Amino acid sequence: MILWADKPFGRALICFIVGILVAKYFPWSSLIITVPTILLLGIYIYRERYIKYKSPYLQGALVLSIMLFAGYNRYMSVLPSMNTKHFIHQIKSKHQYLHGQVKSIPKATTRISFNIEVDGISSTADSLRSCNGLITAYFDKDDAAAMTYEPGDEIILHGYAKALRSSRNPNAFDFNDYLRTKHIYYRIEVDPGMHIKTGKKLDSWIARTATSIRTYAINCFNSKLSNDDNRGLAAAMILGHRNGISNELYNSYTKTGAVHVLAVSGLHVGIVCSILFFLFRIFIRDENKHKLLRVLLIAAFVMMYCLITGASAAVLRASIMVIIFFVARYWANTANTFNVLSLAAFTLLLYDPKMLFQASFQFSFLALTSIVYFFDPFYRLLQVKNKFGDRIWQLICLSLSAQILVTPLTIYYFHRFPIYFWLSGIVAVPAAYIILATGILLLVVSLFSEKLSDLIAYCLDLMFDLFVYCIRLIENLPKATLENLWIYKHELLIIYGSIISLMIGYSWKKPNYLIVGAIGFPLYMLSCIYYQQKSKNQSGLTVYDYYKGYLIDIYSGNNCYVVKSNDMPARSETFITQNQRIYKKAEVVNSIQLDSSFINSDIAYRNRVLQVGETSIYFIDSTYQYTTYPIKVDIAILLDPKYKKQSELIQNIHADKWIITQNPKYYKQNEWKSLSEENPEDYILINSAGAYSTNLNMHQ
Amino acid sequence: MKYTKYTQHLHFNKLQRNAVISILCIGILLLFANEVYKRMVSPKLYNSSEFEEILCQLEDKQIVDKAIQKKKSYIAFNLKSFDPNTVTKEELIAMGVREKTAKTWTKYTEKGGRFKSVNDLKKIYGLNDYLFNKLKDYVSITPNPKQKHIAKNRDKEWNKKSAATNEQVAKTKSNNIKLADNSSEKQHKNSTQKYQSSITEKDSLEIAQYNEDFRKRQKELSSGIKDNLKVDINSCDTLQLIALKGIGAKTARRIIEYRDKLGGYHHEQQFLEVYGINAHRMLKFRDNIIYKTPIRKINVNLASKKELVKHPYINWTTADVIVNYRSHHGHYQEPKDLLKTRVVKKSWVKEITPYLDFSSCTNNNGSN
Repeated sequence: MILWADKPFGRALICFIVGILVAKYFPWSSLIITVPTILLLGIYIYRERYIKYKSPYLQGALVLSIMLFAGYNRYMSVLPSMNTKHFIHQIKSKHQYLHGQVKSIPKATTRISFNIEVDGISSTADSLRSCNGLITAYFDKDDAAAMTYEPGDEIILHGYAKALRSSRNPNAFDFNDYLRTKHIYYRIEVDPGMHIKTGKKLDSWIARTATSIRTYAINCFNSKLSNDDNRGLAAAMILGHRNGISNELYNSYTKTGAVHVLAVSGLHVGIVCSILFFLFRIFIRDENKHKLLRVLLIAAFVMMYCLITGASAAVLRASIMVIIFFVARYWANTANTFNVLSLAAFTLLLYDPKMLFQASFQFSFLALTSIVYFFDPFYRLLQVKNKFGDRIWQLICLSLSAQILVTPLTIYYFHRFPIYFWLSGIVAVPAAYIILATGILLLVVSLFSEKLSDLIAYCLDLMFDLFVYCIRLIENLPKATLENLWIYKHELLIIYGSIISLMIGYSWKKPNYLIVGAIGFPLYMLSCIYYQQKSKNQSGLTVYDYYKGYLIDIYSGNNCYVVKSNDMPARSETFITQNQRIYKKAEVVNSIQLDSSFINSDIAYRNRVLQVGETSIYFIDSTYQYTTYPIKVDIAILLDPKYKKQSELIQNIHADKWIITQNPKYYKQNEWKSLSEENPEDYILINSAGAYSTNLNMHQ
Repeated sequence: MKYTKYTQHLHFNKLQRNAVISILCIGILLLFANEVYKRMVSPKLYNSSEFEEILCQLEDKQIVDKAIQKKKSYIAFNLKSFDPNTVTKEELIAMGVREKTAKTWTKYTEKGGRFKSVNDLKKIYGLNDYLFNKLKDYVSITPNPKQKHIAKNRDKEWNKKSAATNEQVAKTKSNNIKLADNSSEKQHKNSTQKYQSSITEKDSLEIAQYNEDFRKRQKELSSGIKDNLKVDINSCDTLQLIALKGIGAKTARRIIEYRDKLGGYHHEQQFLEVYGINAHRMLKFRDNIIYKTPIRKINVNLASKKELVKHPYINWTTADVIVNYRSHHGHYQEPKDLLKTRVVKKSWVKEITPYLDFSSCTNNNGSN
């Protein structure tokens, strides 16, 4: 009763999340679940109204059950399979005409892309059928017209639509999976020039005002600020447009752990809120009398700021979270912070349950929870009497406390950890505060005075230069980032279990929880040692799914031997293999030339035969010639058989397993298709099965 | 007590219960209202004529875009006078020709191809009409000096020929005029026909006479000599071969060429492998052939793939197998060893054996 008494939304949120997770991994028909949900709700209301003496436990159990079922239902309701109007049910051919509204600002990388909310679809040029759903459109890089679109524009386009498929390489970053968390299941490759703007959908004067303010702000920054880096930073930190930031600068921020200031997040919305609070405190003196007015005004301004930044999902989430958080705290100062946070998370998940699987959502709430719980204990460790020193100590405590819950997840997703996050935090948080305030001031002043605005712009330029200088300084410190870190899922659970247990034990003074939490860390260490030892004796093979050639990793202990196409770009190789090599704990990566021969303690290579432990791997390339006697190997990998026929190869090479890479011509790969379908374990067609990874036998 | 320890997690007071349920209900209602609103305010759907109009605009736009794109690429034209026979790839690219087309162009000239006129440019694959029209005004073809010389000689010959024919024509004309003067039109026709026929008969008689003399001379040569003539096929030259029955100059050359490839003949049936010799023809000269000079042999244990392939009886696959087998199993001891490769037949081994030398295997065995 004591533990959960002041956190009703915390308990409700946990049940709601469990419901979402069950729906994600066991997606039964939603109808089976909807009926009991309505039934439970009916029982609850009936008991509340008509039964005088009811048990609070039973009613509580009913509430939690309803939340669990609600989570399940809500997740199922957002799936496209449950939505009969979704365009994926109406796609009849690959080439489609689409009508829709632009939902995001065009991004130009290797191609131009943005999201479109589809409202009409047609496979022929006859008429459009009504539908809904989101799609990502890809345009040619040179298509200048595509860059001119703005959120709200209505367009018609024609292109090649295809479903997003999951990453086919082990442990590689799955961008398509990320898109699926944003309800995007299809992409369309727009034919060059086959798109046209048909109108602009601006729902209200609010949206129009927000768009004009955004345009004004971008123009103002472009004209007033001195260089491209500063313009890019201003657009990113104040408006959330990251397009103008160079890759080099972005990497510097990533390495120092200050990248969160480059996107409009909870921190930025929080800063805007605090600026508004400060302003209203000046103008509205009688706090109690105009409490409601002030709260409503702040909420309105924050939502306006959200619209100005383009109302992307991340900003919308941050705005809702911060509004609920600030409003609840302001309304009832005694309210439990965790309860308020839970309410914000619950509201957001009710709106979009797929947010739960977005890394940004997880980071936002974990960072806030971590700050709420750990800031005070850290801050109390040291008492600084000097006011400036106290502020610095507060910033360090803020960074440290935020990192406690965020660190395991950072390593899990990004496999690196910035050592000097606390140092970058000292710089980044005040810098974000000052820059945001100065930026807003610049936008306001430039309306009235040109000279004063130039002065403010000059100051802003200086601030940016100083900020970038500090970040670069931190980046160049020795061992700024720990690279190649790997956390398994069960290790992540152990760490979070331990931290939560310690949190409960500490805040509720329960020694048992502290003991359980303390046990978790040695367990994690044991797991690390076990996997480290295992990696030393490992022997494995990974044939990656690379559509332009072949890429093969052979692992022997902590050594990795690579066989790859000669023309393979280093960037592609890094993207495909990086995570798998970290997972396999490969410390040294050696490249094998097919013509070479060598003998190492763990591996031998000669005449295109690689011997790892007891396993022999034969690489068949264009130089292969038939022999009059059969060659016996364990694994045969087809790199480039040129004019060799499949039947003759099988007669000539007696292999237990055949792996056909994507390098041979498509018709050559197809020769193996029937065999692969009959016996998928012995004939692995990378083109259809994706990457192949296996452990190899070692010497006894 | 234990009961409350576990059930306390379920405890909600009335306010908390109602707050959670009402927020859930409000949320669901808002979502439902949003869905209803979306369905009520259906998006603007175009009727077929409107949609067609938009698609027409879209297609027009695409055409315009393409034109702009083309224009953009052609704006970069650096057009100047050029010789299509000597122009470099870079110059062509600078003039707006696509890289692939420029490659085709230069490849053609490098291999000896020549553009004789502006219209020859049209033959280049990938050079579209637009580009041709742009370039044709800047083409200046300078004639090849070698060709100049040939052209000069050709012109001289042509002039001579034309002069001779002119004279002949003039002569015939004058004769005709004379004849025409003396007789009527019919007579004129007959006389011209007679005149022409007299010339051709004269010529043909001369040619026939020459041929007869030649045959006579040949017969004289061959009679009594050809029957007894014995030629060593593996060392003779073409002249000696021509002297044989059934062998002309061309066939003699072919026989010698094939002999050089083979390394020498060892059997009469091998002549049938020469282009143009059939069994009937072969019967005429087979008795005059002797096989005295030994055949040139290839050392099967030392020869490389390329050396083996030079022999007409050995193709690439067989050469590969022979060399691969040798590298894996050591040297061949005898012709039968070739059968172990399993790609050759007994008949082939029989044919090739005279041309192969297995001797070196005894020398190299020790090292293997």
